[in-house]
Amino acid sequence: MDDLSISSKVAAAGMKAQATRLRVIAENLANADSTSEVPGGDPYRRKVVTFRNALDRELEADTVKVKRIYSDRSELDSKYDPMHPAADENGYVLQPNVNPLIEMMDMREAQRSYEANMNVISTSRQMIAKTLELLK
Amino acid sequence: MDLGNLKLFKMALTQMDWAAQRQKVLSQNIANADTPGYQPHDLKKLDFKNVLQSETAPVKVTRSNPKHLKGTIPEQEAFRADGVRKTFEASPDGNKVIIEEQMQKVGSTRGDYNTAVTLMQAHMRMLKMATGSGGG
Repeated sequence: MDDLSISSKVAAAGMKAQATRLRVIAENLANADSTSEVPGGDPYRRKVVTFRNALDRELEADTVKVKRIYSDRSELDSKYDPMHPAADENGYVLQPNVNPLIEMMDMREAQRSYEANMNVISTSRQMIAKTLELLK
Repeated sequence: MDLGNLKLFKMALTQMDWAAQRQKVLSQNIANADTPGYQPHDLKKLDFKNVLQSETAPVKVTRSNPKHLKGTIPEQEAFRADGVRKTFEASPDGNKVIIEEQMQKVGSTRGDYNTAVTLMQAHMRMLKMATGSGGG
């Protein structure tokens, strides 16, 4: 395979990884208020995506893959709400550890990386088109 | 007639090969812009003196049957890609890719490639003119 097609494929792998990241961010934001249903139970915990670089034997190039999606075990806040079904004996409800500001920041970063990969694809395509012009 | 034997075409072809391979390397950097510990790579600057000297390539296994697997020695790339040691900054996870810098490199590589293709077209016109089939 020629280098320009390979570069498009590598960029596509990068876009796929960033899209997975965006999906996880959407899950976090959607569940920003998901508490437990049983008294004293655990609420939703935010998920974090990690990337790793993977050698694609077919392309002989370093692509990127999602390594693991794990849940953030950081400390949970609690809110006093004795009428809530998830309230413990003291009336406190554990809140999800989702911080919308952090998620937004992460989202912008994912978007930026996604756009960079997209630019690589359009540049490669333009270079291939220019090569085909030689036939004219 | 093999156009590759003409010096003018050979230079332009080398430049195109170099730009295409660089595009591949840069796309790997951009795809791995968020991979922890990833170090960006770049090609050595194109030096025609080095290019025209033949280098000894490692011995590869031959695939005499389509069912054979690829050898473990990666196919020799025409130009060497080195890790970039000095970068402006590294993020806390050890990633040294700076998207802006990579995008700038992608842009200049595209310019180099287009220059080579345009040169090729010009040479082609010269040949056409010489053979009397009318040039541009």
